[in-house]
Amino acid sequence: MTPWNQRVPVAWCMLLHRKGRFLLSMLGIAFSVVIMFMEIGFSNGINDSQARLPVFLNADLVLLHKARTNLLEGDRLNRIRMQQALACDEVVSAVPLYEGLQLVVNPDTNLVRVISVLAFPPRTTPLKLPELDGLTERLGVKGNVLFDRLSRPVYGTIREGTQLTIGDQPTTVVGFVGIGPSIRSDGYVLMGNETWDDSKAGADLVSMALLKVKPGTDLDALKTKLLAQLGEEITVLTPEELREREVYFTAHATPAGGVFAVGLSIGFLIGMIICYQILFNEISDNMPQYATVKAVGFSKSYLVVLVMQQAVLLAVFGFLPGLAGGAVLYFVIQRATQILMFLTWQRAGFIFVLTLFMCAVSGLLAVRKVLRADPAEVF
Amino acid sequence: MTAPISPSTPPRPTAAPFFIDRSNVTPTVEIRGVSHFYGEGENKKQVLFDNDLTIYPGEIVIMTGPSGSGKTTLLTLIGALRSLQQGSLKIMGQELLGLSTGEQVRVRRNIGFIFQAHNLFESLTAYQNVRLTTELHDYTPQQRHELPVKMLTELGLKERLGYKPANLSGGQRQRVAIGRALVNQPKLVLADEPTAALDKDTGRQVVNLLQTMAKTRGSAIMIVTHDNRILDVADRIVNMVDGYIVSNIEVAENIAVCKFLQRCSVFEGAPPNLLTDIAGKMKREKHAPGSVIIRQGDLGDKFYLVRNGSVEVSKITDGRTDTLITLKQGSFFGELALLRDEPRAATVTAAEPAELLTLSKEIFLEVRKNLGTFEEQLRKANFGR
Repeated sequence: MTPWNQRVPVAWCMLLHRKGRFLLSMLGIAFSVVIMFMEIGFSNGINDSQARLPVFLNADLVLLHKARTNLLEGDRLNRIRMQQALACDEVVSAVPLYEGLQLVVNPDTNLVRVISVLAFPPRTTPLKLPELDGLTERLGVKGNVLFDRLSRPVYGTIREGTQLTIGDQPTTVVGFVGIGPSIRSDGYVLMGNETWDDSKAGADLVSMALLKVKPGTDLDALKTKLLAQLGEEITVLTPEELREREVYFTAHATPAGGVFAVGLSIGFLIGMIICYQILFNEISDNMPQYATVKAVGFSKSYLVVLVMQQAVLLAVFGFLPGLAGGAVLYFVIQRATQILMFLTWQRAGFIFVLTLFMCAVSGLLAVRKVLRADPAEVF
Repeated sequence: MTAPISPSTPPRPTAAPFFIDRSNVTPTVEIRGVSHFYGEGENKKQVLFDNDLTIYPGEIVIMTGPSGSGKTTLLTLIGALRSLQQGSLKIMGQELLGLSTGEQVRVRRNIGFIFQAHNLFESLTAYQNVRLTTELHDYTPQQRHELPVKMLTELGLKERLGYKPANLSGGQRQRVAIGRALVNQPKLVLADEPTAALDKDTGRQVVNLLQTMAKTRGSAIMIVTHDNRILDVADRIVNMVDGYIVSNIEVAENIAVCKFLQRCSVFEGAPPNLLTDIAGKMKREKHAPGSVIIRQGDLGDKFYLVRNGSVEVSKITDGRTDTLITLKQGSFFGELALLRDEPRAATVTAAEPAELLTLSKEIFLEVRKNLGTFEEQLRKANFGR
């Protein structure tokens, strides 16, 4: 075996030989990489957007009704449970959080839109939002609301003092916080629980109760204790667990996950076909050369390695522009839609592995042609 | 159809007379009884019929013959590019019959291949194309660099090392391909029409190069070609027709024998092509000193030419043996009994180790009949135009 550093870099030279073709090949693979990035971007974006709320929850533990398997729907929790939780020594505070959808009238166009409403007692900060600290007190005035400045611009021009009709209730925007839209609604509005009570029946039912515990408390032990004391009706989770549960639910229990999986597969297939086509053409062009190489005594494995090297090079050089394109599109889409499009190392790594796999499969398909090259035909 | 003929060890008479003693040399290629078939079942077609051929180190063998005669098939069999079906084929002593595909690949590494189409990688430079084949063998990094450079320099391509095939002329490309075949200094080089794509001068250059390689490195070179401009480099010319090696002529020996034949009065006036023909049909015999070659009174069945050594002719008259004459290299005997259809008039004994060339009675008489007069030959020559 000739050491690698002494070998003629045939695969590399073959790819670089026709620069125009190589560029097109790169772009072709990059195209499929971008498709894959978009699919996992949207998929994760929707999951992340959907699970946006738990990230902001200012709590050590969240109490939910057991039947509430996700934040989109499900039973509310009786406030009694919250009080029961407070009875535990470890629990320092419990804040009720009401969540629901309301119709809101766009003051510019008078069109009705859906908005997510979060309500909680004034002077509490159930959400980790920097702006909230100074504004939560103002929610004590009935009819005052805080508007989500990251919401999509479908609610019209909202300024401080804008009168908004939420549900049937006239409200006044007294400040702004930044949360961002989900797939369910285009933005959030925050209000005091009294304002909520007026608009909704059944104020003794809360969406979730946010518990703060004493420093150093064993959360797992406390969870077990709460479950034992509060009965079978509740679920208790940390905000992070809630976020994961929400992502899992969106990805698996809603059609969204499947749709994106199909999209991802299509991107993968397109890439595989493009890569196969590139390799197949390369091999067809060099068939006499491959047969010659075989004739003069190179083994089959040399040829397989040669083709697979080309496949890997194509994967790498298609991935890089694909990554760049994906990053740009993520930025643009997040700006335009407020859907969270994170380009994490894990996600980029995942797509890279997919790209490698995609090119490797097409390499293995194309290599069959090389193996059929008959060395006796070269004479 | 002429039976396959080949050189072999004494005392078996052979058709290709040679005088270099090679009994201690391992032939580079040794083919015995090789037949080959294409297709299966009803479509099975035999393309090679029981061929024998031996090629020794340093020999340049040119193989000619019409297309479809099986030359290329034989070449691919020698090159271990096809599996041998029948017979025995040894390359540098290794039997190819029954080798697995992997073992065939290993055999091929020791053979240099020159193809009609150069089949260079368009994407690699001349240097890289040649260097690629060094990967088949163990070299130091330095050798791996120097061998291709040296080889291409020898081929007059020193200034073209970094050129890709697209920027080289046809002759230069073929020379790079030759460099690729020779860089590992193979003991056997197989070339298929190496000059077909080249003009006269470049073709000559390429062939001279092959000849130098054969003579300086002792490589055996087998060239399949239709190009009669390069026949002069051949040590042996093998002609194939319809799957048979119909003639296998050692050129230098053939010329020497023709010169002897030309001086034989019985073949006076024979044109060169007839002489070569006769030389090709002669068989060889070796006789130890004292052994009787023909005995007085026997029926004559052969014509003899002394190739090497000497023989003594003696006649028994009235119970007394008289030694008449000692015949040396180039002399002939035994013609009278054939011409007159009588018993042998004298006894011939080897005086020292003698190498004789023989021609059977039928062929001898046939040749004599064809000789004709000078005028007849002229007429024939004109007719043949």
